[in-house]
Amino acid sequence: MHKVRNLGIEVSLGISEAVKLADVDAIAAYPITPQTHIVEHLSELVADGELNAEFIPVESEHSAMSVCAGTAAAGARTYTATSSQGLALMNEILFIIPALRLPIVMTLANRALSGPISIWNDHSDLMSVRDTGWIAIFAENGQEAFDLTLQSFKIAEDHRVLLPISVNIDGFTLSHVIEPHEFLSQEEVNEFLPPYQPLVQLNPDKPVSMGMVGIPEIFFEAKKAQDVALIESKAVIKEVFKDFGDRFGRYYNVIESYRTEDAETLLLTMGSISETAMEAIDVMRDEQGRRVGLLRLRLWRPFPVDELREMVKGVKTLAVIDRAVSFGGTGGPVAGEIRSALYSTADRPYVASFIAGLGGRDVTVKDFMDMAALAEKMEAEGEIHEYKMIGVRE
Amino acid sequence: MAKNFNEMTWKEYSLAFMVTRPGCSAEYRTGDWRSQKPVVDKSKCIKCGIWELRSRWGSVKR
Amino acid sequence: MDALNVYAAKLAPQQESLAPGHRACQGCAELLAVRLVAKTLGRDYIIANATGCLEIVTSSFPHSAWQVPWIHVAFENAAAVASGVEAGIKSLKKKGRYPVDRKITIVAQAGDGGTVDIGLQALSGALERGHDFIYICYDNEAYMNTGIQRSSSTPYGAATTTSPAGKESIGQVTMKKNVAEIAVAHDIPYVATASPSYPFDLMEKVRKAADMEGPAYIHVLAPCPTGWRMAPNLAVSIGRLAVETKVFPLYEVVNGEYRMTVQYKHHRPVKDYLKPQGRFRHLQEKEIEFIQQYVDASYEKLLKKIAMSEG
Repeated sequence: MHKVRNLGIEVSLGISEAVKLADVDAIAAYPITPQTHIVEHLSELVADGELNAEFIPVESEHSAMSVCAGTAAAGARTYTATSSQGLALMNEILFIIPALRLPIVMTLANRALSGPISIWNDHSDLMSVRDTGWIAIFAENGQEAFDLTLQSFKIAEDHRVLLPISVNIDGFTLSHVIEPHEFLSQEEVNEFLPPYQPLVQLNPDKPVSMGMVGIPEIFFEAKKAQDVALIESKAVIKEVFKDFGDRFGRYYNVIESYRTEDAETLLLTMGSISETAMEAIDVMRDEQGRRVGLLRLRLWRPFPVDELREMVKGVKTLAVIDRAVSFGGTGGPVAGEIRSALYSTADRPYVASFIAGLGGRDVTVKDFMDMAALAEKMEAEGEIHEYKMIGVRE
Repeated sequence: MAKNFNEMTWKEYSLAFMVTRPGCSAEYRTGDWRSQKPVVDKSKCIKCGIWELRSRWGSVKR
Repeated sequence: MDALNVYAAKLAPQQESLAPGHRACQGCAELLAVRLVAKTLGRDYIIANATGCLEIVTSSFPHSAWQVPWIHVAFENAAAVASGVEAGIKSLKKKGRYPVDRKITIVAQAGDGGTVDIGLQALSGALERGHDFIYICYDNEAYMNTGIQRSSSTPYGAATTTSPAGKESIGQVTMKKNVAEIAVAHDIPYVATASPSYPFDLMEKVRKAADMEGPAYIHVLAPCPTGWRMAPNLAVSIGRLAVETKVFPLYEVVNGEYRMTVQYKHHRPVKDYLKPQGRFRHLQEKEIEFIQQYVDASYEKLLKKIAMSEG
């Protein structure tokens, strides 16, 4: 048996410990609520000599991501963390990182985008960078945040992948809560995650030019290659999930399911509200005898289309709960993806799109039960709709 | 190179479209767009080395 | 590099790290300056390049003119990317995963737009954090790559495509931003101005900057025949006139101490510098007189700083 260390600790600190165990070489970050506890703890670890890394306290998030581009191109294992407005300020550079194939790991403490300015949780920040080409993974509790942070380095740095990853945790509702963690020892991590071996690095012994001008003759091919790299990363993600599970007993899937057997209705969530949703499922199953279950989308990009199609087979109603608005659009961002993914399949479920929990608004057990009932009613009546906002005062 | 770079498929390019052959721009023919062409009068050369420093393209050598 | 002290061109380094085949305009003084930097630093340096003329003319896929490691990420972040490269290598060296036996100079290079306007914040951040790198601004006094639009480095009276001269305007109506002084305000070990018209002076400054621990900033005036509306064969002589007329004095600031590196006993009137350039063609005597007074005053200010350093 491997040695484990159990500890109740704030999720942000747990993530920092994972970054320390990953023995990162460089961290560049700018403080933004609610990501601050992560970078505070990391700078402490560096100051105390517990983590042998360069901590670069930059003057903006734009520079944070730019510095990360430099450290990663130099061949250093690179980490950063941000949130909301900070992510928005990075936006320009976010597109360039996957094009340069730099394996940066970033924790994204999900927070609403202004305005009005809000420090509270929703997923509008991540949705604004949906098409930047990053792998995007969701953690719903502290243990998942710890485990997925470690696995992300292995996924990102795999020579078949070489893409950046954002590990998403809900701001405050996850980042600032104290949760039980089962840590891994340094030896275990070292074995699972050896030092980063860059395929290419900036080194005068073997000069390369990175970030060339993409003339029309090659630009399209460059984008195709990048797209395929992202799509194909799913196989490596699953491989790393399995390896991690085999070693440490905690298995992860690109879509997690909860009590979906024989379900006629499924709820679909991302992030920490999933735990509330599970409670709602328990009540509906155990007290009301309803055939409902839950899907938790762990992998947002690359979108797990095959797995989704498989998991909704035979389901009558799928209620997708989004935590962001696509203003004036045809559905919540996640619901829109799911409708697209299922449109060409036979016997697809009715997809209800609900938007809930914007800017820190609570989504309660009752809300989930109401949404399940509403979705079933809409399905029965064949209601044509784009999306409905749940929990807003009308 | 077997194929011209603008005939290759997306699978055939280097990772991230990096250029791994340093200074390969030397293969690219410049000058065909210019309207004036410098002519060197070698009989006047005193081997001072100034023009070697003055060329943007490194086209003057000792 | 001692050879440079004798100022003999034929003793300058033979090594090239900028290959031919780049697409610079005829007479481009920026590429001339870049090549002098490349000659000085040889092969032991890494470049973080901002978007701009220099980037596009040297890196059109599949051809790179660079024989040293080179990275381009975006327009405004060359200083940040360079800090990353510096920090990344420092970390890897500590962990024994990068060759430790040679000193590698990290160079960030950008045009005036990428430095004085959109890149100023990243530059300030990198200088303040004290990374061991050289930032070189190749200043051609406007956004030449996008078609000669004004920047905050465009001098008073110059016509550009967004500061055109007309009935109601003499062109650029603001004074050139002095980023070398902004760099000095960061209390960094080395700041200098330089010109490719003075190759030995430029090369010595690059050498000094590379040998210095910590951040160094070099502001290079790079005459642009295309944007300054003049014949390509005038770039070098215009660069010289900029110094002879006190428009662009060549000096260095070592640990806060100012020193003029190129001195003239007698200076020429600014008219001599303005006249050959089409961008100043519309200026009347009155404006030229105003520019002369401004140049004289700025130069006096610089002399006082030098005197204080000597005193």
